[in-house]
Order: sequence, then structure tokens, then C-alpha cells
Amino acid sequence: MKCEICKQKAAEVAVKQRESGEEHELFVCQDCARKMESKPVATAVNAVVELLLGAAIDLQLPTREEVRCPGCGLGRAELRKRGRVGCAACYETFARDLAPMLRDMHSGDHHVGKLPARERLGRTRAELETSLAEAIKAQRYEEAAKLRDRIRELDGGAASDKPPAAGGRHAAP
Amino acid sequence: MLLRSAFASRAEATRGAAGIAVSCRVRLARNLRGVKFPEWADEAERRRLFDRVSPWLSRQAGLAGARTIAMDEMDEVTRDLLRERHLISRDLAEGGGGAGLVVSGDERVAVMINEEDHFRIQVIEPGMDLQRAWETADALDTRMEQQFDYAFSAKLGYLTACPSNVGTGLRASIMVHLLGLRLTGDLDGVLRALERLRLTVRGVGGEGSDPAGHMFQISNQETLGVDEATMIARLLDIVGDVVHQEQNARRRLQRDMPETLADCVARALAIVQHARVMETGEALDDLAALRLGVETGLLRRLTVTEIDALMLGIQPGHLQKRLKRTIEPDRRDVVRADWLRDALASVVMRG
Repeated sequence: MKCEICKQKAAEVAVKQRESGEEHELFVCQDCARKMESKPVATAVNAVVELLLGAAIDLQLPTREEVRCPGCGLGRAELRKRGRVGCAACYETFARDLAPMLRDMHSGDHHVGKLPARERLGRTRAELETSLAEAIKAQRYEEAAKLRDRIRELDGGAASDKPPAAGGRHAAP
Repeated sequence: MLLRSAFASRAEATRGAAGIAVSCRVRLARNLRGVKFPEWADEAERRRLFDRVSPWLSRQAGLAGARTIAMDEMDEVTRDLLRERHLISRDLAEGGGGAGLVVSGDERVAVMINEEDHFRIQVIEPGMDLQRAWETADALDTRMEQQFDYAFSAKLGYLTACPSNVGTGLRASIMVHLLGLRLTGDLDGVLRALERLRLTVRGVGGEGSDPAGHMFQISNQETLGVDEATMIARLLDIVGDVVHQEQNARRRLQRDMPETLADCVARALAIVQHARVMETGEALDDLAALRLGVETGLLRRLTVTEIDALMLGIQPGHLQKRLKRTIEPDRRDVVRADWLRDALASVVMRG
């Protein structure tokens, strides 16, 4: 295949190009890739190096384009160099790169343990909603009414004229 | 004002824990959502965070008698001293503007701000009371999560700058003194076994593999997929076994190799009572041997508490703080040797 830019040399690398907000993938020669100042990737050599380093690589994906995290601006190259992310959003931006690192470092792949209070409440609420739907479907209306009350309590006690329970969590001061 | 009780309090901290497990620590890594992590943030951003969070932290009951210490306002000697007391890391010491520490009056509880993560909550306890350290850290963390919007993902847990800490963000560690196992020749096997169990073993008081005084910090590696209680129980179980092996090694030394044990202690005593120049590492090695001597009943007129105070006091930051001046390394070695000769002059071998 010929380079999609100069149409002369053989295309060797894939690069991503952003044009009016849209991302295109181009197959180009090394020279044109350099001119575009994109990071050529997936050449045989660096693929091997990356594998040896145990770094994240997905051989199905022909591009190793320079993605930047919208949260902090960290690029993939920096992530690799540092081995550390720049902000919480990087875990989404670079999920694919981080997955093999996490696999090497940990035997589990999802969090088990302490949850911040807001997560605990969120989970409880989701669980209650599932139970409520099941109760209604099975026509267990008495149970459904109780579940609805508990969900309302979680949402700020709007439906309840009871005073807030002692020891309950309060909003941040 | 700062660290006026530089020598007393850490010695007190080890009170009642004289033995193989010297101290333990729980550290929780926490970050804020929507705020760049310290390494990637600029100084102004780091300072803003420090100025925002440190006054609030210093008012918390979990940090009673708190002091707030901004790294860029501290001289090098004070930073060394904090590091020697395991209150800050090298990264924090060199963190510049915005890097700092809020530490409780008794130095048990501290929060490093703008180290690798926005917050590193840490609690140090004597001996192996890891459970208590965890409960203290957990309680402060729960207060903090009500005040600050933590970076948390349902799948990956607490999000941290380094993927190796993601999940619980928990690093639990126990410091153990394993000189007995070294003398019986069993130390390498034990260290290898620990690594196979996916625990990290690091020398204390020195970087790299040759730890001063055969003090080792054993800690968990994994933070994703194992909850805090399980990890702490597992660490206690394994380190408990290591302590048991060290006890057996010491018993074997006393019973089968008394000359080896006595020679190790007597040589160390001879050196500290006569040397004129003493580097930190060598001093820590000799003091650790004396510690073993006291614990196996070979030395008189010396206690473990006194040794622990010396092990801290002879380190560069503490030494210079004590003399209230900056001293060049060569000169420090002389001052250190003088001090040790003086402090240990009356110690004798039993029998």
C-alpha cells in the first residue's frame, strides 16, 4: 500500500490525524509520519521492545497514536516513561495501556474493600431499586412500599416526617 | 518548636515492643477527583491544594496537637530529621513548593500532602499492632472523604498516581530485626520465601539490598482485588511466622552456636567503645548487634530503648539537630564516634 500523503513511498505506519474535531487514521510512510510530528508506532522494532518491557500493547491495534488525557494533558509517551498517571481521568483515557500493567502488579482485576460513603449509598440505592422492581413485578406490594420508603430516606428523607437517624452521615461542612 | 522532643518520643514509641517486630505502619494513598496529581501539577496548583487542605487537616481530632510543615520552609537538616523518623519520604523532602506534612503531636499519625499522591495518610505503631494502625488511618480517611471529593472508581477503587497502589491504596508494613537469621545463615531463604508470597522486603535505613542493622520492612505489594482486612491479616500471619523463625534462630544460636553470637555482640561493643570515626551505616550495624546482645541477655547496663534512641540519634539529621549546627559528613563521623563511645562506655558483656 502506498503512503496516503505522498502517494509514493510504501506506507509503513498508521497515524491518527485530527481534522475539524474528527479523528482519521492514515497509513503513511516514515518520512511523512515524521513530518506530521505524530508518533509512528507498531513498527516491528518498537513492538518487540514494548513487548520486552512488558508494556501495554495491543497487536490488533495498528496505531500507537499520541492520545492526550483530557483531564491533565498527559500523553501516552509520558505515561510510559513515568509509569505513573497524571490524574484520575487517565485511568479511563489510558485504560487499554494500564490494563496489562495492572495485571502484572495485582492478582485481582477489580476493587474489593473500603468504599467512600457516597459509593456505599449509591450501591445501596441501586440494590434497593433492583429489589423494588422485582417486588413490584412479583406483586409483593407491601415489600415494595417499604423499599420505596427506604429509597426516599436515602434521597434525603423527603417522604418522611421522621427526624434524621442519629449517627447518620452528614453532608460535608 | 518543631520536634523539640526529637529523641524521646520515638524511643517511647517503641516502648513495650522491644523485640523482633520493632514497629509497623499503615499508609493509605488518596487523591482528589478533577485535580492533577502532584507530579503532573505545577507549583501553583500544588500550593493551592496544600493551602486548602492543611488548615482543615490540622483541626482534626485524628491529628491531635497537629503541626503543619511546608517542605520549602524547612532547612535540609530538618528534612533529613523528618525522613529519619519515617515521617516523610525522600520524594516529599525534595517535593519543593506545595509539598508538606501535617503530623500529630505524638507523631503517630501524619498526612503527607503532594507526595506522589495528593494525600498519603500514615499511622505508625510500635510492635505489630497493625490492626490499631489500620483503625486509626481508616477513621481519619473516613473524615477526609466527607470533606474532600476523592478520586474513586467502582472497578479500580481508589485511584492513585502509580497503578501499583490502585484499589485499596493500602501499604501495610512491619519492621523486623532479623540478625539472628543472618547469623544462622537462614536469612536469604526467608527473604526469598517472602518475595514468592508477593510481599516486598526492603532494608530500613538504607536504599538497596544491604540494609543497615539487618532491619527489614516487610509490606504488601498488591492493592487491587484484596480487601484491607484480608491483607492485614495475611501480613500479620506471615510476619508472625518470620518472627517465630527469628526467635528459633536466636534460640539455636544460644544453644548450638554461643561463640558465634557472643563474638558478633562483643565485636560490635568493642567497635562502638573504641572507634574514632564512624559512618551511619556502620554505627547502625553495630547498634543492631548490641540490640541482639541485650535481647539474648549477653549485655549489661544497656536497654533496647536506649539502643533505639541511639539508632535514631546518630543519623545525620538528628545528629546535627542535637548539636544545633550543620556539620560536614567527615566531621559528623567523628562526632558520632565520640557520642557512641561516651554513651556506651559503661556497657559490659555478661559473664
